[in-house]
Amino acid sequence: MADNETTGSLLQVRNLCVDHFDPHTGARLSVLRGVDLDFSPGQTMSLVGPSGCGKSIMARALLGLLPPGFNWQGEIHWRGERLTDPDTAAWRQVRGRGLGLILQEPQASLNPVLRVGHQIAETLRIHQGLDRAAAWNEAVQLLAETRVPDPQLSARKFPHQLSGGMRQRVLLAATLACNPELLIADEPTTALDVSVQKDILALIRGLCRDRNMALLFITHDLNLAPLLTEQVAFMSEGCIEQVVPAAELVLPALPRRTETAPAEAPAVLKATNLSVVYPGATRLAVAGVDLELRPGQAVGLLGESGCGKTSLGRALSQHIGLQDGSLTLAGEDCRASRGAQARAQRRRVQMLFQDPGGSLDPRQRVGAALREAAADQGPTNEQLLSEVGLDPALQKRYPHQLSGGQRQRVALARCLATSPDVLIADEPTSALDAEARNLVLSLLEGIMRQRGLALLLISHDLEGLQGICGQVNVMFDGLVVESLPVGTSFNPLHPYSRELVRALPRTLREDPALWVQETFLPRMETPTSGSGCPRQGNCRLQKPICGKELPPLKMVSNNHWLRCPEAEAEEPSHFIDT
Amino acid sequence: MLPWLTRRLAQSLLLIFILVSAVFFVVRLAPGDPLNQVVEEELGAGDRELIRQRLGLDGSLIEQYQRWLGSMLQGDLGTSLRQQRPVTEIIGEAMGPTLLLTLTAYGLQLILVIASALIMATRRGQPLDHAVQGIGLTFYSLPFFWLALMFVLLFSRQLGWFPAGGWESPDAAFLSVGERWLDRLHHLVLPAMTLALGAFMGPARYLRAGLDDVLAQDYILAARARGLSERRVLLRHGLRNALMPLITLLGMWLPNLLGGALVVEVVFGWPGMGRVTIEAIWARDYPVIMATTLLTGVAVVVGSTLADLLYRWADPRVRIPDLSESEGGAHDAS
Amino acid sequence: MTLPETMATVQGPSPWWRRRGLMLGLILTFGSALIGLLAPLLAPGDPAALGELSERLAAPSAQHLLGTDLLGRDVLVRLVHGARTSLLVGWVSVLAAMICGTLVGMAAGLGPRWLDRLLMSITDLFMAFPRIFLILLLVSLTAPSLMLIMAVLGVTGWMGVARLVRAETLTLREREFVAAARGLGLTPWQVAWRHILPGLWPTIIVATSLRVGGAILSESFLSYLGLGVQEPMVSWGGMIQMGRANLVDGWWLATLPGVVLALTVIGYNLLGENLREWLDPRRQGGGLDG
Repeated sequence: MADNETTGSLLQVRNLCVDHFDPHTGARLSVLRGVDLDFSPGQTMSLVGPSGCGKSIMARALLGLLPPGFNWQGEIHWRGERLTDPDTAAWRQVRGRGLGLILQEPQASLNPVLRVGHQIAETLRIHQGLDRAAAWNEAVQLLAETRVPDPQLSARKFPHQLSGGMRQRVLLAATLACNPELLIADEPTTALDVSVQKDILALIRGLCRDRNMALLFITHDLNLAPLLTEQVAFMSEGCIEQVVPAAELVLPALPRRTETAPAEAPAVLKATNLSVVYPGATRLAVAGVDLELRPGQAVGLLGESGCGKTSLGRALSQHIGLQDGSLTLAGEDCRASRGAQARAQRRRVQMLFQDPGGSLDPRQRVGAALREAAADQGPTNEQLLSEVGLDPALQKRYPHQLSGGQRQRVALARCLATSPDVLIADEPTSALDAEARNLVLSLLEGIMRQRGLALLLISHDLEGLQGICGQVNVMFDGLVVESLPVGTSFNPLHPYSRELVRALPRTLREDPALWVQETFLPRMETPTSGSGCPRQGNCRLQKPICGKELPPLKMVSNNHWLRCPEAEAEEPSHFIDT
Repeated sequence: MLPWLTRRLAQSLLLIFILVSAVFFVVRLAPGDPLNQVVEEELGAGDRELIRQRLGLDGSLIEQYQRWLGSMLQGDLGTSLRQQRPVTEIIGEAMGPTLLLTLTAYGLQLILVIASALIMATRRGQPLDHAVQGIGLTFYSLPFFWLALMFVLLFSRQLGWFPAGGWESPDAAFLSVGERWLDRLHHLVLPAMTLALGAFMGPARYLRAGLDDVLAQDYILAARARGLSERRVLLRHGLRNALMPLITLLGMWLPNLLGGALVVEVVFGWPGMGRVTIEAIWARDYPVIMATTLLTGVAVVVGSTLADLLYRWADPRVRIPDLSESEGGAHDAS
Repeated sequence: MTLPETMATVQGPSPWWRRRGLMLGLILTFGSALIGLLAPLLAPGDPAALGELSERLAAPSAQHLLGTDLLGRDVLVRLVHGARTSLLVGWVSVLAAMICGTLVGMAAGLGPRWLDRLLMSITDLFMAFPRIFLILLLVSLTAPSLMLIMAVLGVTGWMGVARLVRAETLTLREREFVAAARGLGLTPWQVAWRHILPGLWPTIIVATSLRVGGAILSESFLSYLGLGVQEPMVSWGGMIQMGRANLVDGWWLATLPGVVLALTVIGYNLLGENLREWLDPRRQGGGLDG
């Protein structure tokens, strides 16, 4: 990094070190080890690194808001002035007027008991000295600038009344109330759906350009970095290892599935018109899904939060009861079975959960968990652990003594202990780092082939499904809206599936024109007017008929089913190669 | 809102009914004849029957229960067996002193709770935090009645600063109105202090845990990152959210207003509800027992209903349940 | 923000011997338990034996380290024997309440919906009433005795435990490892025994410790009112009641039992509080994601 003492320098960090003192063990852990950083006005930089590398701590150190027990050393200069004590008014002024911070969880970043307009106006009153009415008006203006629909009304709402994307916009508006010159965005879209993520990223990008605001974009997802910033800094174990221009960045190639194996084995698990409703809820979580899982084949289930994909997975593995429909396992009706028979059937359909920390009993050693699962038959613990590529010595460990990837592999070994016919993996990699993710995915694929398992892979992330699955079902609002093969290319027809693909960071990078289109209307709430297509109101192909009746799932070509007559009629303009 | 309140009140009435009935039968099924509390056992059988009839102690238990229920519904709580006075009169006299004592004590306690919780949460791990915790835990672990005795020993017997008992001086009747209230305040100091000091640590620890949780939230970090002053962050964003769970505790506060001062009232000879209750229990004065049961039941119900209403008012997430359900947003409902 | 993995492995819970509060709590509780158990050895005298006329209300001296009471009985001997009453009542009543409350709470948390509603209605009914009132009412029904007090304290003490255990059971039930255990074909009983109950232990242990202190306080108050254990059994509350008449000329009579009582209760509260912090994984570590 160039080290010019230019007067135009915004932020200058020299040899920033942070360590953490644990009062109980007396140990001192180094979190940041000598970070140098320079920002000039309008400069944008991404900070990419695995979890635990010190990214978030660095953001907090720059703001002077380190958590208790953390100490820092080094020099931080703001506009040439050295900041020393976080408690002084000088640093607070910088926080209020120079640096802005937005965080990962928009849910948690807003005070739940204050109206959102209030939280923005409060900042304006303190930093810009506006009176109550003027501050409120300005707050509404800021909400409009962050493209919150109906800002007058939205300002009067409480955070819980807004969707995740809206909350992130509100937080952005509250941060803009300080009129910051450098915006620090700490994983601002990690908790959001891919379609919402695209809009928030586009918004941040636009705001930085309009306001000539510098941006420090912290993320674990390398794909996002080149979308927002000119430079990308790689961080690892508390050090910035290298800084490269975003344009030169080469993204790792995606795993691609080449062979197509349409071996028509009979379905081992078959669901027909499956429906799930939770007690007290008025809407069906799963509203009539047909699905067949065959030995040695992987089927993907793609969808965003709240679409019912987890409910479907749990219904298939008989963790929750069915409202309607039928479920047969190797020809046996699962709904009719009770007691020991039902338990035996449950053992044949295993579920791999998203959070390996939560799916292993924290008070049970790995060995005991595997023994319990095997029920004193089947493969030994050693065999199971080596099948998932783990050292058999890990048997004596407790789950908290393992890394995230190891835990997920132990959870997988536990599933295999019952010698199941079907494995349902619900977002098995979304809590893991890139490296662990690839390892778990390739393990899943290998085990599926070797054991002839039927695999259902549930994910919000298309790229995760592509390497393994032959067929992908796209789900929205409890319904499968499209089911199509995925291989070297993925050519969906349904308007919703196409928007999902367009919102992928890779697609955005290849075709910057897509940034401009705000394909998704900002969603305040999910439209649910009873009958008709669930996408009505949010669709570019909308016709009056869409509000009247739900279109059926129709086969449009080999292995391709579609629930949208309009898209079927439309001549596909351009296919998107993935 | 209104259907909720109606259902709530209906449940409450049922609760009070079950409670009162249960206490009626438990008290009356206990061995011993309540008549013996009133008259000598050697009295002639005829006279005993006469008195029994006059006190409403004749007939089967069910009949007595029906009679008691009937007159209660008309607002008549009967006559005290021991004092031979209407129960309403006894309770009316005791209510004033109890409310004076408990309201003062709880006011003091609230200040102690908030102050100590703020100290503990903001000075975490520092000497001041340890000191407040140590003092609070010690008071919390002391028996109330013993603490009261020690206060009497120190401040009354040894130092002579405050009177040792009662709620006014023997010559209070001869004082002017202003002097009489001063006299009462003088008597109030020791019991109110005992009550406030003895129990503040319970809610304070609760509030501190709440503050700890709230201050670790992202919205506190976000508020600080917007350059708000520490004081504003702590009071407006931190304390307000942390106080919310404490509202539920307020539900238990109202019944305690009437009954919780029992221990202190007994030790200090404070002529309040607690003493009335305990003396009635000792003397098997069942009309008084029933009346205090009823009153406590009502206080419990009113207290928890008020707490719920307050909670609904204070926490927007509970206030508008219909909206929040339909706009789940970020969370995966599946 | 999640705990970085490297830090999670380095930072275990701090060892218990490093926690001053926990140590002090252990010393006080074990100390009082030892005194209670070894009472006949430590203070061989008969706590009820009347002393000489000249030894009545004697101030602490070499002969009677903590003085004597109005009837000339040695205060130290009586204090040591009083520990037995307090601890016996405290532990028996709390264990009874804990067992009952845990069973009810787990049944409500794991059972069908109607059972949950029924059990929680009953719990609420009992809980609606200030506990001290219930205790007094029940204790006054028959002649006071040790058994009666333990029974009444147990009967009026299970509701809080039931609510606590139910709430904890409900959160544990939703954890994915419980779902996974069901998926392995375990029966509901096996799930409850192997995966729910072990998760409840921290809650139960902490609540027991805190409640023993409370039960000791309740017992002492009942004894103070004369509704507790009767002579010739000794109890600290009863001693304070006796000493009340001689607050000034026999200050040691009311003061010393109170101090001993307070130290014991402080011990249990300290133990409970520190165990809570020590056992609760949420209160450990301060790491942040980087």
